Amino acid sequence: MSQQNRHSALGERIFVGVIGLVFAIQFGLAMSYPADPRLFPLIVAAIGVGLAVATQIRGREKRPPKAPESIAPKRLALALIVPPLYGIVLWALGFWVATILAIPALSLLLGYRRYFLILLVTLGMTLAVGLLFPVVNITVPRPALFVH
Amino acid sequence: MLHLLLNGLVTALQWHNLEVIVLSTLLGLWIGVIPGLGPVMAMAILFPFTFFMEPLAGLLMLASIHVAGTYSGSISAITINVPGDPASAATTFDGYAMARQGKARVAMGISITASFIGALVGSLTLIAASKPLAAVALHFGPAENFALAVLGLCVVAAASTGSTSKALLMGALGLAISFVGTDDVLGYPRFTFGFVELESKIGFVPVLIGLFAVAELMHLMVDGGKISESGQLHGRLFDGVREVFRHPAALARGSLIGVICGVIPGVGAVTANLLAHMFETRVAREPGRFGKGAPEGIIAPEASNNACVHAALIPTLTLGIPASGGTALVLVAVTIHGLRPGPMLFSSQPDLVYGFFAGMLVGAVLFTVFGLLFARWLALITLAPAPLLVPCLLVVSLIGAYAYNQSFLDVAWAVIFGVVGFMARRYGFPVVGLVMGLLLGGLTETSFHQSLEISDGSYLIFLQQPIAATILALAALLVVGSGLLDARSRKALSVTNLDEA
Repeated sequence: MSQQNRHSALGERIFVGVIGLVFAIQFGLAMSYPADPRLFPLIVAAIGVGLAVATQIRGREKRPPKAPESIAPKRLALALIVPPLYGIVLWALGFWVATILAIPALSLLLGYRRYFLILLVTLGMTLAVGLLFPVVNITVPRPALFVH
Repeated sequence: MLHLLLNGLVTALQWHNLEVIVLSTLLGLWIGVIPGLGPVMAMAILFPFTFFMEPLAGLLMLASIHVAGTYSGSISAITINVPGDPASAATTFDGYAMARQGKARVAMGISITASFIGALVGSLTLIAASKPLAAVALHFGPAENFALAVLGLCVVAAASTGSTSKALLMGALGLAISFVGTDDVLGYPRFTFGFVELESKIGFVPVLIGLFAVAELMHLMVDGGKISESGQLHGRLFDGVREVFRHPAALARGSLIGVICGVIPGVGAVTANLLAHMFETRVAREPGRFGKGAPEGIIAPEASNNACVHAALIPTLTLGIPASGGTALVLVAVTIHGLRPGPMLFSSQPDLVYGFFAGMLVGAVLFTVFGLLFARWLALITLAPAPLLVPCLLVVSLIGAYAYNQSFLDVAWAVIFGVVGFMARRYGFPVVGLVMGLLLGGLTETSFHQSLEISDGSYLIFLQQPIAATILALAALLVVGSGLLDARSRKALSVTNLDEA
């Protein structure tokens, strides 16, 4: 088995293992509930654990299917860090500051160097969303750090 | 009936009604494109205005927003893999794949045409078959609803072109997620870990935004490039229009599924959209084409969701049972104006009822015309380079998730399910299973408990009700058949591997 396939197989097993753990936790918690509220979650959790085990067993083939293309670690780290980071900054600093910082920062991190276009997109996107949402009675996120 | 419809058309085309239809259609189109907003929100915000309008104008406003918004959700589904409305979730599978091939305009042409024809079928069903279909809907009780929900989950396994166990695992995960929060039957908080915020269920829209939008932007960050992998747009809008007529069977099946899902209360356009796609995958000679830009993968779901939105008015107007949030608002608007839903509505207020039906037909024509006018420009989004597009997608996705309930918890869910969707796609787990499980979890559990209440705890009710028993047998056949096919293909694969060795 190639190294890429080994990594992919391991990654898939971890993914299925986490899902199986979710079902196991759900089963354990459901046991503490009264009869009616626990019935359906118990059934589904039991089936889920069984399916997770079956998927793990089936994953142990001699020749696994073609592994997904390997991802550069830096790009993977960026993909996993940026969405939650934007969410946190959105909460902390509010929509306007978070978005005006995020769009150019991310464009530059992804290697784009046409600064005028970045500026244009930043202003356009921020204004479009910031002015559009209040029209339908939705306020954009306000900065939590500066709420009195 | 024809003369009533013609009279209704004359009424709908009166200037003040036509103005309402045009403006509402434009508003619905705009709102439906933006993830996290959705036509039902616009309907709810504008609902108080209906108090001061004539009954027909008020109903036409709500219905036009609903119908146009349901169609326009497919625009963002195709261009940026984010369903603008949950009822366009399945359109992302093949619509976005087409966009990646540079055929966004073709995909939009398919979507507009299929939506229009689905809307026509739904409208004509509403006009011609309201009463008999309402009688059918009355036969669907809790046991039948439970069986339908189970069938919906099993169709996921059957339609999956990969491993059956992976598809069922995702379906079970979706069900497990639907249990978080206060249970629908007894109001008991479950899996909340003491957090009050978790007592309201995990929102379907933030999960959808995470699984589709956030996961996709993560892929774009990793892969780079543009949505259109070739960097160009191929094909024209009218190529898509023509493509629809090359697949009349897919159009017919999608419309029929939409009508059935609309007539049965509690099922809805989201289920119709997903079921239609899965059904097409199942009946296709080459299921491997789906998820890679198969035209039928857009035709059937788009015809289905639009047919469903119209057909859902059947139980709403004839039985007073709304099928969704949108139809619930229409029902309230009907009652506020002193009208009473039921079979008598048709005979006591024919001008209103047939004016409403005709107005919906006019609305369908209008969203098609506006869609054809605007779609070609929106397709240009697929040519934007990833470093510019990804940040915009990130903003639209997470603000859209926030807009759902104006809560940061929904932003967190969108991010979490973005990671889940990214991993699932990477390892070949179909996220549609998770979506179906989450969507059907509440209905499955509620109808399960209601059935046991009716039968005094006897599980035999699911076998004793003929419709429920038939549907459950079909579901079992689907799973077993799919498992056998799966085992056979794995055996063939291992024989091939042995031969190669």
